[in-house]
Amino acid sequence: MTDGHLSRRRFLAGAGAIAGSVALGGAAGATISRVADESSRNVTGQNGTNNHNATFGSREPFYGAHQSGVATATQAVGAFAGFTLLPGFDVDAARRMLRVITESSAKLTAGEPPVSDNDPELATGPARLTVTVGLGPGFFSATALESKIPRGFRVIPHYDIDRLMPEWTGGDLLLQIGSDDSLVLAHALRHLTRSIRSFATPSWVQRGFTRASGMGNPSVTPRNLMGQIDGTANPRNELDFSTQVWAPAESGWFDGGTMLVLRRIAMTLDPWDSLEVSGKEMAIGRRLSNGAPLTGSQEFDVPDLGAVGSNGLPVIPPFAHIRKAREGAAGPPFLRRSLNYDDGINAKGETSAGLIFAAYAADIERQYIPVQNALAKQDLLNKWTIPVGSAVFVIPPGCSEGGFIGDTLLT
Amino acid sequence: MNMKIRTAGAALALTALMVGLNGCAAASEPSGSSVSSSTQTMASSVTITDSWFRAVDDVTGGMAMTGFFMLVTNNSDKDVTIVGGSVADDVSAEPLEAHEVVEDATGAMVMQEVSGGITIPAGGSVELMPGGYHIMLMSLLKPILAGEDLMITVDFADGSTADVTGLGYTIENGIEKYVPESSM
Repeated sequence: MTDGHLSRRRFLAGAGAIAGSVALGGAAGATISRVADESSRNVTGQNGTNNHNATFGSREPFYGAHQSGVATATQAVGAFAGFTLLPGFDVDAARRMLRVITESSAKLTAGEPPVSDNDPELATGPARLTVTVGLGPGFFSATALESKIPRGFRVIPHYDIDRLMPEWTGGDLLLQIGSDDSLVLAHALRHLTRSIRSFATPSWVQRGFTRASGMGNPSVTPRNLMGQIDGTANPRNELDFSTQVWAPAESGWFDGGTMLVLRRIAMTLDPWDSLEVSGKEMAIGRRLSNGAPLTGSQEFDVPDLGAVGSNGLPVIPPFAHIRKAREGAAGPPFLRRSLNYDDGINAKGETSAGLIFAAYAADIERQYIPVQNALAKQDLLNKWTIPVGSAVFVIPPGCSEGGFIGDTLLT
Repeated sequence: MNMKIRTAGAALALTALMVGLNGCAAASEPSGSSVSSSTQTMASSVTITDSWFRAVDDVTGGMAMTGFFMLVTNNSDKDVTIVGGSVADDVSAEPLEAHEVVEDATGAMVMQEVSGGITIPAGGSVELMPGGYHIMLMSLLKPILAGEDLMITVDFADGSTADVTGLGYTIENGIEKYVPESSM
């Protein structure tokens, strides 16, 4: 079997080119792949000996017990695309749409063009591309599968701090795409969007970034645009993920899935700039330099919420972000895998930037909402942050080759 | 792509593969099959992967057409030719034709039946794809949708056939110029 590695479209430069392709023939396993072609196109010297090519060819698995893009180390760039299902969408359409997404995504994440790709050269070099599919509340109503909604899946309640914009809120279907390369990401998003246009229409796209590939150890906790180290308390190992993020075995079709809370958080960075370092650190309860709690010296030191300073006041202030988050928690912590966004300046000349806050939990109601309730009430950070978008999605488990994302729900 | 290809027999296909790669079936035949290369058909000589079709969700007017595409690899040492095909009667009553897209005298790209069929050279591969060679389905009787499986039977010049199942995809390019405005 050639398994599709033979160069697609190479064979078609007019009928005359067909005869030329005989050169391939006879050579057992003569798999000419455009991945190799494209990665070496502008490189002098030996293939694979520089960091650029290491990034270019890096792949994340598509098939497996869980969808990629959750436990996957955060890529340099990402996009969350929300879609609205077209009228008439039903279970049969859901099955067909998810097959198209699955087949195309499996190819794209392997660095191969999907069969219907208009721009196959752009599919090369997946650069750790992942495609993660999420199902919004509207998916379950359109397909009359409300009874299958996993326990604990809830739309986030309205909070007084919210200034939600319709263009960043809701969605029946989510495609979450990440890559270490913006061109690969743009191509994957565009290809998938046009591939499902008979099923769903895009309603918003949120693009964000972390550090570029090669900018230090990817396992280092990232910083957000306020300069804070963000994600210290995240699950780190398989056991953490199985108890905090992945739905447990007794979840039926949802076994191995998770839930996503996506909040677009605008940061008022210009007022934030006017704070002294100590003020910024009191708002969060951690040091800006290394993320250590104000009661410790290292990032992963456990915050001592009871500690009192020589002035008789709590070292971690009463309304500090980490205090309210920890005191509010009623279930296991969730995974934060957020991206920064920077849209330049708005019409008033103010910095338009913030966080595409992405939280993954096995149970939104139990793990996420209590924390959000506490933070919405009293969190010093609220003074410099404004939620402007909100959406929730069920992230189905992964699938195996031959299956499709969502097959445990739909077959 | 997760497709099913049914040829005249798995043993035949395996034999064909060995012949194609090694030029010597008997020496490396692992299955103990007694099938000799002289019984090899065109259908059993090829491997077909990446099979798919352009989805059509509106067939009103009776003129709806579409293309079926695939990557055909000829594992044998003889040329193989695809001459046409067929599909279930409820999809189309017309025979399927092997088509190509070529530039006409005015410089416009036009589609026409390939005279003599689509030849896959010995040991070579040809990709059927939008804007190039394709298997044409005409006068569609019902929509064939994105994400749906469709099986066609591919006819070869020696009378052998191969059933090929492909998945429907929504695309804009290639053959669209021959298709009446769809509702998509």
